[in-house]
Amino acid sequence: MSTDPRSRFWPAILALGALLISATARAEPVLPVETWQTDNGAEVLFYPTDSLPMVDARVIFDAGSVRDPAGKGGTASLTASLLEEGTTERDAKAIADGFARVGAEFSASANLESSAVRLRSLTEEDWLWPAVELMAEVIAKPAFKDEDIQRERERQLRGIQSRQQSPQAVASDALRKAAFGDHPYAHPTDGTRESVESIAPDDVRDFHRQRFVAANATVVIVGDMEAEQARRLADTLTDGLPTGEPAPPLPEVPPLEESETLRINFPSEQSTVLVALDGIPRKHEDYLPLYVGNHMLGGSGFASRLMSELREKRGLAYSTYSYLMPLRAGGRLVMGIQTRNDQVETALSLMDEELSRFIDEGPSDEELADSQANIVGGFPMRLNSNGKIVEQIGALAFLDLPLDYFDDYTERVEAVTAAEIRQAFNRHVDPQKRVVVIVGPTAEEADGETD
Amino acid sequence: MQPRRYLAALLPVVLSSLALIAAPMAAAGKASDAVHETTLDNGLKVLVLPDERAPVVTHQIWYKVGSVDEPGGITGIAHMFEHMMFKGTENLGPGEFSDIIARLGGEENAFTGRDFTGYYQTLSADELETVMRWEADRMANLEIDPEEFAREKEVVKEEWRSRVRDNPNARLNQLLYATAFTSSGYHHPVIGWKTDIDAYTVEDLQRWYREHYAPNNATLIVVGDVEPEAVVELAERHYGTIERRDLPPAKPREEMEQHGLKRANLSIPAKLPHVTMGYKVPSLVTAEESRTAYALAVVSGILAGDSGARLNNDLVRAGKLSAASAGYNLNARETTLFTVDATPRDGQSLDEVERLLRDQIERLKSEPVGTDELERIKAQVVASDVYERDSLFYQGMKLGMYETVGLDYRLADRFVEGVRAVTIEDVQAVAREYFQDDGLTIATLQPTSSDESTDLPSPTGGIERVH
Repeated sequence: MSTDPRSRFWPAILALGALLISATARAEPVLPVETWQTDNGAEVLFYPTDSLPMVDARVIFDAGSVRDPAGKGGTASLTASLLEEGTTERDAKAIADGFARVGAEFSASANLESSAVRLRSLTEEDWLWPAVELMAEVIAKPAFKDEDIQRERERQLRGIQSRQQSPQAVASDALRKAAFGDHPYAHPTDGTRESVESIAPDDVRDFHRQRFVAANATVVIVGDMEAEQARRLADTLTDGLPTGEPAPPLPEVPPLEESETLRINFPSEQSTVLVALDGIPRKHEDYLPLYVGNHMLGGSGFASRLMSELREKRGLAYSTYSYLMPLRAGGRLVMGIQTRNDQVETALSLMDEELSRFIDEGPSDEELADSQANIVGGFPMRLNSNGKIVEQIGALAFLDLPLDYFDDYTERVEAVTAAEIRQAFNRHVDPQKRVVVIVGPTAEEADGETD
Repeated sequence: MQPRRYLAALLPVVLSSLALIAAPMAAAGKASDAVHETTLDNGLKVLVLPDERAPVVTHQIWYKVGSVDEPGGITGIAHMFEHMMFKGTENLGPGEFSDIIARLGGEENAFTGRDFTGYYQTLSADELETVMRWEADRMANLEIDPEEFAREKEVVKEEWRSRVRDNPNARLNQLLYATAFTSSGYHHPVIGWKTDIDAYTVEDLQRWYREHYAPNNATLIVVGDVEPEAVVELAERHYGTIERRDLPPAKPREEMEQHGLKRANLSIPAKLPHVTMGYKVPSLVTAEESRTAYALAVVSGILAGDSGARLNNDLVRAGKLSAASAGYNLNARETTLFTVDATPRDGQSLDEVERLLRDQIERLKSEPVGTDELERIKAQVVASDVYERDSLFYQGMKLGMYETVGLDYRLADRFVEGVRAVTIEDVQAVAREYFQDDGLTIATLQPTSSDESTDLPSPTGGIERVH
């Protein structure tokens, strides 16, 4: 389809099409990002693309739930959701109106590793700058009124209850707790009922004061603007922030100490089974072999062994998978399945078998070649929209990975050998040491259907 | 809709397009000018939209058949059939098409909704012909192997367990539709009733294939780094050889008129009570004047378009409810529901929740909406029109959703215009006409277990440890 010279498309191709060029001549970096620091110390990354008259701006703080004060899990999440509930200048309704009036999309939320404040706006001057100024105000000057904190905390508690009626959510929270033990990665991002009830208004204010500072912030801008405008944008967004201190290094995740199985009683017809094993942090020399290996084990849908063995050959599940949790301070490998209650033991032993076989034998050459072809062939789809580009740049910056990470990415994927994968799995994943969580009716109550 | 596989990246796109009607339904302003339209001799309509931002293409085929077309006894068969489309043809073994796509680095999936069934692949533009060849192959040459079918039926049952049986809000939603609709095909859920799933036969599937899978019942959509002429040439080569077939005409199954409020209650183990209300309303397809449908889309924006909209601002933020939302599917093929739903605060009665929601409905009828409220929705629609062009898949999906329900794809472009033309009077008029008890259904979820019950564990309770 692309045999013609396409000269008329060059301006558009230049925006994103560094991809196309890099595949052959490597004349340009895959992500031609300009970086600088604001005067108060925030890191800025800017990727210009004129393919659409819009801009995505994101401020990422090292303020995920891993930074929640001890015993007050859910503080980061509560803080993020309170940002748009009022500033010292205006109330929640005025904030929402301010964004809506100019068609801007705004959101703020916390995850395990970070908190992010996001804006998507048209580049039209009259529409863009009011939204940017409002976003800056929301980040730097939240009101954090007692009654708003009280109300949002109550809503967060309802959200936790809502998670408790989902067997998958219950399993995932239980797995995190069991897999990370005393590490601050262990608690759910929204916290537990006990931890959220213990969050006082000053905890939120302190969290914001300490973490929402320039030295702890990364600004990512992707869109149709000149560098000069991007500078003004980044300055505006961070202007109200004190320099502050970057968050301290995280404690390392210790390896799993012993195997355990947790059964959680739940009135469901299907059981959710999750298994956590040791893994590695994201910045690790074995990351790529483990990533490619996991792709074959359970990371690539129908092309993966778990899907093939458990779903396609045996009809045991709609969903089965494995994924790496490559966090900054450590990681885990997780396998999962949801299956009819009476099939749990079968499914679990098949998953174990697949994992052990993979660790012992590694992939076949053909399987590896197919997997590499999938990852390499799918590479352009990881960066084919502004939304995906802002996501990838944010991740690289936050993880402190080099910005040229993608320049030789496909070559590095292709260079991974079966032996390297097997060795990496052998080094980092011990199938004898694992945490298993099973959420479903416990044995005596399982009257489940047997069709 | 029921996507076939667990694909986290896809779900937000697909779900939000149904849930947030006001904004994401906006069309790409000049998009339809750029759409290249052809109809092959066998009746297959081909729409090509060039987007050269990356050397990638999305190839989608939309069949004009969904769960709405299912007769009683085989509900959910559209979805079951969609699963079987991955199980081999006269020319490829089970899963082989998926393997081919995987080796090319492509993404693929399929989705079944009330009004449509769709299949798509997104991959390097160079490989368009490959996926076209095999997509055309399964339009004409599918083989349904009884053993593959038996296994895949188990997979679909597992899907039902996780999406429906073990999901209280999904069960409530099914109850709402089953109560609201009597004679219409919207009565039953997309995934089907469990007893029907259990009883499907190979013959049921073969009949479904014969009666619905023909080029004259489909739309081919290609968006990406392509030349329209070249795409049409490929379509001629691969789809063009499939013969047009006379298909049995769909029965009208018009929804019979409702006379009076309907209520239903669901008492199952759950943590949170919930109230959901649905008013029967026309869609862009069934409305006598399109203005009505655009006005209803605006109403959903006024109630729940963003965090400053009425339900969140006046009820949730004001501390009166724990959560609330509204929804309207402009693109439904038949009379549809305008829904309003809410979660009570701790200890609050469902009667009070209903009263608060009804007050909001009354307010729409009794007072004109503010000019500012209308203006902010229009601004959002104009902006979304640009934002949605960031997604290749969504651009194709929008065309497919219009065409498949019998609306010209050019209407997608008129969404912005249509919404901008809505007046304060229009909003009040549709509220008065359609938000009446005669067309209302209310379904409630009353958990059988209290919060402290041991039926549902808190994350720390009810755990048995085995070392």
